[in-house]
Amino acid sequence: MEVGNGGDSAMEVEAELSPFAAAAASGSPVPGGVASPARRLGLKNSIQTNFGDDYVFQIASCQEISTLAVSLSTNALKFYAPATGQYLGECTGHTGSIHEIAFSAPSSPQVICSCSGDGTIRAWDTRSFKQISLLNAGPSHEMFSFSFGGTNGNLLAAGSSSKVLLWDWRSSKQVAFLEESHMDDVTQVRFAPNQQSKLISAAIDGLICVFDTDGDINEDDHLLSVMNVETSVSKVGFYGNTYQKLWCLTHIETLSTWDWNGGTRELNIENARSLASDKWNLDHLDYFVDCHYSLPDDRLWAIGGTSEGTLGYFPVKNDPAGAIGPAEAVLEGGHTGVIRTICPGGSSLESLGQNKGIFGWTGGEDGRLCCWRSDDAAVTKKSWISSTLVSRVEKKNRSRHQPY
Amino acid sequence: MNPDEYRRRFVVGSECREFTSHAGRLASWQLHRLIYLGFTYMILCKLQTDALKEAITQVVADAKEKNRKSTETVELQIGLKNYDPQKDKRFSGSVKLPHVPRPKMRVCMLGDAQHVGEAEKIGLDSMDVEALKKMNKNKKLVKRLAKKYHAFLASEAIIKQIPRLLGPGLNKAGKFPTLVSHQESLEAKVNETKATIKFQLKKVLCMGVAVGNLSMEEKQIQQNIQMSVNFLVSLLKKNWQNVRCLYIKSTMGKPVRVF
Repeated sequence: MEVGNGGDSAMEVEAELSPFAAAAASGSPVPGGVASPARRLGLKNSIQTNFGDDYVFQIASCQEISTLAVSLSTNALKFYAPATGQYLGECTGHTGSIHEIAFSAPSSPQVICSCSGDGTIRAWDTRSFKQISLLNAGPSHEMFSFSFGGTNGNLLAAGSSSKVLLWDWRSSKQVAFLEESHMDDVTQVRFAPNQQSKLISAAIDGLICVFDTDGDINEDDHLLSVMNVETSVSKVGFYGNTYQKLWCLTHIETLSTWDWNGGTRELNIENARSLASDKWNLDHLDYFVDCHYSLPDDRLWAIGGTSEGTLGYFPVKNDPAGAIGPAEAVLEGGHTGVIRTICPGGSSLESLGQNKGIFGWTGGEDGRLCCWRSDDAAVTKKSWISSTLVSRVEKKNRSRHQPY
Repeated sequence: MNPDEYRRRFVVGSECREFTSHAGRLASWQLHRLIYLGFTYMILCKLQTDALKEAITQVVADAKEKNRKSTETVELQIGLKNYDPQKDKRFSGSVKLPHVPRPKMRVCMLGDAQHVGEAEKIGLDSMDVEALKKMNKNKKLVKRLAKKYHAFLASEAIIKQIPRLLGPGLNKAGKFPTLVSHQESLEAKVNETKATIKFQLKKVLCMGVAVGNLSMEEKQIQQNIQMSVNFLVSLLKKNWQNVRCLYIKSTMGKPVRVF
């Protein structure tokens, strides 16, 4: 019931390239004409991560070591086995909200890093659940985001209160302190995937800045361009076949896309929520969680949700007339509150067999961690949703003992 | 307004009316249903237009009585509940209002030749590339420029050069220009810039936004308040159930509760 047998493994490999490959293969790439019915995904299992009213903030996965890391509003990180949902352990130590986690430490897949409102970036070993390193910028420097990069791969950038900080992570030495470019909390920092020297920062002040991090970094000369989103930015991400573009979600739930090298805006969808709401037959969309980009298909989806906990994947096209297409995937019945994070199952080719047939994981303000299956939704275990906590735990245990 | 809420409100409202048209011969279940609907209706229509109008009249009358020298700003204050700044999503951004709340806002156009010409025609301050080049990234000069104006607009050709010509000075002042293309009207863009207000909830559960001034008509103040309240409420996860209170007040006047 968890992993398909050999017969349909070919299809599953395809599904790992893109969550929608199956839908596309069946002859409906949705060119804006007839709306293909949205694929409803089945719930594989759901785990209650805590017994209070704490939220799941973010989920990060690492294919190489097959561990799912989850940050909670308790200031702790918890770890689960992706295939079975088995609890593995936790890391505690942060004394402020954990704003971002990622398995991105260069050449050490077993290390997860986290940044927090307590002004620290910490690295943890997922085998021993122990803290292995700590960068402390002081309690006045709440850390909202971090990213590893730089031409030599030695830089660690962090977004803080109206500042962008840069360290050489090998020596833990601070190399730059950019305090002129933003006037409010820097919510996102990202090194460009294809141009490792370029750093992008986005903030509450509505600006996205591009920096060149080569050489001796100084703000006057290394600020390459500024894009004005005109409202508080919550999340940005790279997309496009050479990652030359940027999507941007804001705290007022608008979506814009940019060519970040040229600094020009391509799309500005101010009524993104209502446009998307018209593209499915479910409730009004209340917020966007994230965007998903599939490199093999060169397609971008905006992922939006309702306050009742249903998610939809809406294709985004560079066409002002029909920027948001009909929902192509619907994740319904897993959550009962706002969904805060989505972690795709097999986004890369080198993913291991364990995640076969898994579409991804979601986490939200109901404290749940849900695993969604990418194979046919017919076998959804609806009973798990309504069953009480105790019986859910029982079922989870039973399923683990089944041979397949 | 959130269309979902609009729909619910409409359904509840029409069902109420249907019941009340049969008043006098209602079965007890219908009566119960009516009471229930009445409550739902009250919960959904939080900001009652009449109450709001009354409050605005009161604020305006109070200010007239005092006869202050300057034009007072009308501020909307919002208190939230069931919201945890540590855990819940940030509540910040900007809204475009139907009427300009700050007409005296000074805007400057950093334009190419065409935009500079247009700006002159409508009496808008402007600067061209040569003037910007003269600043030569001098921090003091850029700071002085930023202080002189409340907001900047820039043509596409200029906006790209700003980091190179001026450095990060305008970023730090929170006044990085907004792009104006040649396809849109400059005057409309200036008004749009003046009509945009920013809001941000910090570590506390209340915040204030300037939504108008006392030289505006009461109707305009009312439209600005309704627009901003509905927009802000649509961003809260439990909508009106996250709102503890709403006050309007003029700069020097007493606050008046509208919810």
